[in-house]
Amino acid sequence: MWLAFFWYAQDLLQVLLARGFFVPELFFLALFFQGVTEEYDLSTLIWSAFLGGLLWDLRWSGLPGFTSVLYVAILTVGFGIWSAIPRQARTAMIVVLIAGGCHCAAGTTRVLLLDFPERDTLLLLILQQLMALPFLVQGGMWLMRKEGPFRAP
Amino acid sequence: MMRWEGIQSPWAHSLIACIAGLVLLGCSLQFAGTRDAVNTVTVVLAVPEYPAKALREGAVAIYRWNAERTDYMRHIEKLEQENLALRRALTEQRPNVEPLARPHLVTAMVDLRYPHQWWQRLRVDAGTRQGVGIGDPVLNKGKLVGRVVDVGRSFAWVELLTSSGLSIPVVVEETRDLGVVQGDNRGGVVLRFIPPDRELEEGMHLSTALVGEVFPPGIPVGAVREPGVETAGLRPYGVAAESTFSRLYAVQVLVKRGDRP
Repeated sequence: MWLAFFWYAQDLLQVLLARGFFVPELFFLALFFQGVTEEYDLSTLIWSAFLGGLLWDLRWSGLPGFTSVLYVAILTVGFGIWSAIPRQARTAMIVVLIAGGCHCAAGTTRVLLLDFPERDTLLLLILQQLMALPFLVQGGMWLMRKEGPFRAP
Repeated sequence: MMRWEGIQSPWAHSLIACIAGLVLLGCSLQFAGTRDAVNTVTVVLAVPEYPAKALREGAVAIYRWNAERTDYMRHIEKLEQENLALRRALTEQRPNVEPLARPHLVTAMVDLRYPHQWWQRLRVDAGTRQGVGIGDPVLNKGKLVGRVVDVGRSFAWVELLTSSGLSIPVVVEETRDLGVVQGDNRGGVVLRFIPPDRELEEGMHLSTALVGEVFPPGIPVGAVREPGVETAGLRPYGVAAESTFSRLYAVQVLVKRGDRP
């Protein structure tokens, strides 16, 4: 339910800002933040990423499968990095850093493969990362408020 | 819950999902129904996306209104003086003539542009609901960029000026020579059907000609560039288009007010 909400929010943001802008990948961030808790099955989240990416492709990129692969691959790398960190070192700040890095990687990959890299593209990419900052901070605060240990896949 | 018997590891699920995505991507590039699927999703999502679209259009309208108002205020004094002079010049009462149907512009955002058809076509988020019809000219900052070739309720496909599938009659404003501009599918535009004895100079302006039924005359298209090699008794010229086709985000569709629902 929450994932659908974040997909819808990302879609509304894209409609609001029009196609030329790169909106923050809210759906991806929601998947990642939910993935590091003990509450959700990782396999379910991976297939949710696949379906959400597919729907995004059908709505915006016109290349069904592209965003699915992008989300699943980067999510897997993110979870892999997370699982490599010792349990004692797993803090909300580390989650935010990994999520930010994955978000940056997703945006950059999308731009490099789908868009024409031009002068303004870098600026738009930076803007996308800056727009994602409040959501990253909010996600970190959400994790800090949660009880219990984070997931060790 | 998508947990298959025997496949418990999320990493295995990731691998399967990636492979499925890549297969889907490969198939979608070949499958003609992809475009229909994309259009269907767009139509279905048009309803839940309406609030954001309305908000965006409202913000754009307010910004535009402010900008236009500044310009209008600047010219009001001059126009009032001209109006006064014209009123004095009118000595006879004019017959009551019905004003001609005036075209108006519908602003639309580009919401889909396939990389492999980059210079041929794109899709905008305005359709028959906004009065857009097949054949309507599409402008960017007042310059011609293409023509509507397919239209749905909330979207329209635009054939770009850079597409070889679109031929538009134009007139060279300085010499009144008629020709046809056509794209080359690689981002370039060519002016065709100019007799070799007509010497056009670089920088001469091109605008749509009063030939055919669709395009109103006088829409700026571009400027003449260097001549090409003469073939079959005709000399092509390169055209410097007025718009930047690689960065088209917002366009205006010139629709005829009142002639469509």
